[in-house]
Amino acid sequence: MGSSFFGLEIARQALQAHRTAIDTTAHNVANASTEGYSRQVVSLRTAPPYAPPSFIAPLDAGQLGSGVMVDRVQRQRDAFIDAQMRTELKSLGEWEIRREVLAEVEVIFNEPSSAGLREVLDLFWQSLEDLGNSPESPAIRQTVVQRAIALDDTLVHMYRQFSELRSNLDLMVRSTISEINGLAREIGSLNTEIIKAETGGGQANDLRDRRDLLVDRIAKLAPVQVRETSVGGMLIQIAGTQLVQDERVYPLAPVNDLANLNFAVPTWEGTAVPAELTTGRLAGILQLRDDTIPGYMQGLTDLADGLATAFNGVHEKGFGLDGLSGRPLFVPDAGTGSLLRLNPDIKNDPGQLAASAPASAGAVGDGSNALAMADLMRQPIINGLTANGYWGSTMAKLGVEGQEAIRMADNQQSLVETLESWREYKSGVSLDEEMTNLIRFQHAYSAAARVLTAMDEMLNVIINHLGIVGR
Amino acid sequence: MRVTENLMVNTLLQDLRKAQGRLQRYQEQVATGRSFARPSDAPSAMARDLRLRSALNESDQYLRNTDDALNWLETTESALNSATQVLQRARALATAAGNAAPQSSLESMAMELAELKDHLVHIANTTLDGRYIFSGHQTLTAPFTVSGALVQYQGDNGLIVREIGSGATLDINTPGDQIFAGAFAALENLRSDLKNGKIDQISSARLAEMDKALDAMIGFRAQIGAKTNRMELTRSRLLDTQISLTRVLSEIEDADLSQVIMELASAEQAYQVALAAGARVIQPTLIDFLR
Repeated sequence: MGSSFFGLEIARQALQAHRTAIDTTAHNVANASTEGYSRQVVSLRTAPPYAPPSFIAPLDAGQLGSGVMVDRVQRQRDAFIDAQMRTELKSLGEWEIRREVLAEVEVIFNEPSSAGLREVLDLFWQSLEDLGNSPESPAIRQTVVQRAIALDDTLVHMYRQFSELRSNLDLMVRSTISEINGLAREIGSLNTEIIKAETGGGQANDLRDRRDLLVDRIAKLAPVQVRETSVGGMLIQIAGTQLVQDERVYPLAPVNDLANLNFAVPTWEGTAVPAELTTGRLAGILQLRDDTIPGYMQGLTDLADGLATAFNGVHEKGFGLDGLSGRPLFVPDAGTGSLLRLNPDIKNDPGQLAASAPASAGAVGDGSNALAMADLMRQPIINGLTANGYWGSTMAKLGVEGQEAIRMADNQQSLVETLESWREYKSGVSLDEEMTNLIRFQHAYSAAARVLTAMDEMLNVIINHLGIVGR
Repeated sequence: MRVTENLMVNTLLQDLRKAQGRLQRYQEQVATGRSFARPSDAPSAMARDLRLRSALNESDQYLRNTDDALNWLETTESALNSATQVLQRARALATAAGNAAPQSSLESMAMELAELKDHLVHIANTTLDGRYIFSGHQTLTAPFTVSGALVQYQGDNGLIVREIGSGATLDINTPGDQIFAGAFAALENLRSDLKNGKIDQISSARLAEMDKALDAMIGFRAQIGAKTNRMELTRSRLLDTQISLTRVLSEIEDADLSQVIMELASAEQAYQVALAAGARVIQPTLIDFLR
């Protein structure tokens, strides 16, 4: 037989358990909009029953329940969705930056438009045709000179914009490295706290939510492999090398690459080992900086070199108004930063433009060499393509790359959104649900209070109303 | 399925964002009137677009070259027309002299012939935009100079070409000595015979020379006429090409406005529906019904 106060104890536990449940409901409602928060559920269990059965008490009615207790407060989280999410975030990070930067490349190339390089090439060709028509005309010679300079200016302008874009991407590399390091350090210190909090059992729900959020962020930047350690900490690796292990952090450092314009290479701090980045935003930035953009810059120099070689070949054979030949139309840049530098002698004296083919003095009316130069625009002079054809194929390549980046980024975005929905489905706070629970727990609390009142009245009877016979 | 408020809000936001993206795309097409604005919108159409724009510029230039050539040929034709008239007048004088004109009139005929010769020199030195058209390549040098009775050719045999299509060229000039040398010689011979009263020679050899010079002149005019014809055909072909290039270009790059506006209207509606649905879904929760 239990003690007189046994029931009081059950009621007290019930009050306490439901208070905890209501507090947790309040916590859920409060964090309904908190990023990365997982709803928490209080699991209640019965307290250990009173008087375990034994041979010496065979006449007992059986086990007597001793009330309720809080087993644990558990966050609702699906580790599988987390893993999926991290995989897709890496790709999203890579394609998003690619989409962004390729859009910028499109702005730099400025095609199709009536001010892009294609138009400038056409204008240069037209001026050569005009020179073929009127080789005597100083005005038209001047036009050819100006059009050639415009061609160089257009190429150089684009080339410089690409150089700037690369420098900006390098700054992005550096800031992304420090972002990764910052996240890794924060995860490291969360690991410390979580390990400490969980040594005594139970789960550090809110700290874990926070850590998962940071891991998502880091996954978008770098291709990390994530594993929970046995003590509740986390092991984060990039291509098998540790970035975070429990409370220890091994940061990345931006090491200047002397062979590559002093651009930063993400390297493991204190070593000479570069981080192996296969995907993620940082890998995307590096690929754009070191591969994609230089490719387009190379396209510009190839175009300029092809034009210079072909035009010089023909120009050197022709004769200027002064009856001299053998002069190149374009000369090496000599530190001027030009890609297609017009021969300064010709710039100063357009009469030196070799428009005519025959050597005889005074044959100023012959524009056949100008026409031969104009004809070069129809010859395969750049990697087996005409200048316009080369430009067209470069633009088509850019278009396809841009389209792919947009499509892939959109796809990844959809995937991530779907996973976010799944995660929300599992971990999100539903206010309706919380309100319902609130009512449930509140009623249970009230009922427990009523039980306590009943116990109180019963004790009142025993203490104050018994044993007063004959008084 | 557990549906939470956040899930609904996120879904709504995603739907709104997608609807807005579509709206923005069609709006851009309507505003610019073009179906693509950057390479990634339509890479292959854009590559074709670039090619066509250059082809249009090219045919523009060929049209200019053709007009220039026509201009040149017309000037040539008008010069040769005047030269023919000069020779015809000289021939008439030769015929008249043959019909036993008195010595005094022969002398005045000789003087007229000298004038005619000077006039022919003037014609042979015709310029177009400051360029001598009968000098071969020496376009800044007058092709014919007179020294005494002699007319000397100062030009060369250079041919001037105009490009009237990819790889298609046409010589538009004829060096002056081919055209005028015979005529000058015939005129000079006739003048000196008239002056010296060699009537016999005039009616035979001189008249034959004059006929030959006239025939040659007519031959050159026929050549110019044929070239002019060819240029005019080229010109109308180039104009046709331009029209069809412009049409194809417009087919490629112009947005089909009726279609785009329809799409815009439907995108607009989708956006409004998403907004309306969002407004309904987001409002009520259990809290609204608890008291």
